[in-house]
Amino acid sequence: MTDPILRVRNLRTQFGRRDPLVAVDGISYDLRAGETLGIVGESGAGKSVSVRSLVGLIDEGEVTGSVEWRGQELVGAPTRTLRGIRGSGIGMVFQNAEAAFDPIETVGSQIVEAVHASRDLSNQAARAEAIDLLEEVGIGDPAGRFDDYPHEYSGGMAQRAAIAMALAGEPDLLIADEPTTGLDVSVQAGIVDLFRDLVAEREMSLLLISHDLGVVSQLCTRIMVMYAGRIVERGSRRQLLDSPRHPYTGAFLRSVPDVDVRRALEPIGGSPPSLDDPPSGCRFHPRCPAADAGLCDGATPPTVGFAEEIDDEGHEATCHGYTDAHPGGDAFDRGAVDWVEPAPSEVDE
Amino acid sequence: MTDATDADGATAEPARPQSPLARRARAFGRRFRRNRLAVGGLLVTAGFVLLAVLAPVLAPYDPAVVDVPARLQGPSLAHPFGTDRYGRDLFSRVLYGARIALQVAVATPLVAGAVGVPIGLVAGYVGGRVDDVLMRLMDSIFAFPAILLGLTLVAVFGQSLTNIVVALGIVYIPQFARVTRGSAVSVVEEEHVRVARSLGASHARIVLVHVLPFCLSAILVQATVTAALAIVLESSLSFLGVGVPSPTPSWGSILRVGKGYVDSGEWWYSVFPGMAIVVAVLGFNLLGDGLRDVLDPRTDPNR
Repeated sequence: MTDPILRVRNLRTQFGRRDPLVAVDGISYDLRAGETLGIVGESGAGKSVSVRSLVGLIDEGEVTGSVEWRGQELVGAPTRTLRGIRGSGIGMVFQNAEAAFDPIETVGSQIVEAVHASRDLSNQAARAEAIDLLEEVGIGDPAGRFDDYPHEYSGGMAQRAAIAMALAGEPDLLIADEPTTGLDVSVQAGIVDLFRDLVAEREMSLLLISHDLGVVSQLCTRIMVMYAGRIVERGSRRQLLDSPRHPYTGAFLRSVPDVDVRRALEPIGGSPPSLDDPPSGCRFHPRCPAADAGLCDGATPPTVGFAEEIDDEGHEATCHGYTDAHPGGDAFDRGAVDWVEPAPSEVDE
Repeated sequence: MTDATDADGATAEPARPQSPLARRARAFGRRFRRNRLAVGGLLVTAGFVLLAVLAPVLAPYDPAVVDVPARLQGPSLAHPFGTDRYGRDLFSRVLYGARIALQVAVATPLVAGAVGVPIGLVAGYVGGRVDDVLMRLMDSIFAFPAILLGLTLVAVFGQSLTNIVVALGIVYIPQFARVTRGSAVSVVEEEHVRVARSLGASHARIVLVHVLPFCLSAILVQATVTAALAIVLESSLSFLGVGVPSPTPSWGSILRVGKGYVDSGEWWYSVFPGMAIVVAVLGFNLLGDGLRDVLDPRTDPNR
């Protein structure tokens, strides 16, 4: 297997010095070239902050840990280095595409600007490239739409144009932060297809963030589930969808409508924790039906690895339920446990 | 590839749409014309500018020519505003005074803006510690009474029109910095600025291309208001004797001499330059208020 292009270790982002709000609390993952990785979770789980932290787009907060892009450390790197990687190494697409464009400039000129930011092209070549990009993302009559202003684009077209802008620097990794949220379902499907085509044709990696498991499962081969700033489960798409191991993942799956299966939706009880004052121990324990008083609310849960028949990719969850200290239950298939790694002892606090 | 004609997609397009700036400019013109305050202010200001520019043509006398036998004459056909203690024609002197006022009104906002706007942009864009330091610095300038600061600066620089403009400019730097920072802070939060950063755009480019244009309307209003304030402050300094050196006729310095004659009945000596100040300042203030209303839809009563 090739070396990862992106290697994230113990990434932690906090806002405010006194009484810090830890939005991302020590997450680690690898992303290889051409790989598609999804991060799912509820609003406020820290998904967006975690990807913005990668390339230094966090203004007031403090980012620690390690982010290696092709072997180069990005945490604490000078702005010049980060600017070189933004756009040309790592492109980003955000949720609100219409707001992604400066309202007083044409869409075309902004894509040209993005081309210029990372590639040394003449104005004419940059314009031609921008038109090619608009065509690539499926804008009909790209040359004609080039001089349109953002308000003249519909939501779906604006998202396509925003993707074109993110591709202007020929990035190796595209980070898409809720790219389909706020779009019509039919438009969403088009955007999902577009991402799939782009990943295949450009051989780039995709890091997709969404609260919409449907979108993530259509595009990503590997999925991580984030809860209250931490990753609670990770595995291949099949592993997560077919045999979720963390109670939160299971609850999350059951709370999403499924067209094929008629069943009552089960909302997850309670509400996501406030990150000002996260619950002790396992952060999901206040909402977890299988939480064990004295265990889950005290110690940080261990990471449990599972031997899966479905895929040989690693499937891990951080949960006390698979340890002997927990009474267990139907939700926890201890037979599948491959290994258990205790949580690192908490140094701070 | 799926087609991109979703929702209100790429169907028949009418004539070439105008840029948002052009459309906004047209809407601005329409709203401006409907705002009586703004139109009134513009008319008064335009009249003031016209009189100042045409002073050499309009003035019946050379404002510096002394005619002692004709001293302290009341308003008449020959001297509509009367004459001063040396027999100089006050109408001509007030007209020429408008030239000083105009120079001050134009140059002061330029000087103050040239320093204040960049400070405000940096403070608003960078934020954090830099913002704190810059804005506290501005506050400390702001804390001085304008007239006292102006007096001190003129005393330091020496008395000349240029130095007065520089001094007035320094006095009003904080206002430009504040106004610009206020607009910049809200623009910086907008998604398109974040996106520009995610594309690797430089800070300078983001500030100049994506932030500054959104601050211009607030800066324009501030410039108009500062013009009025500058006229008042210049007149005050001249009144106190540290303004534009004589024999250049500044409204404030005419007033300073004229006030000595109020008790003895020569009212015209101080009333006419005083009225000139009032009218010029009123014009700029009305224009400024009108612009503020027109540029900010939320405060426009004539919407």
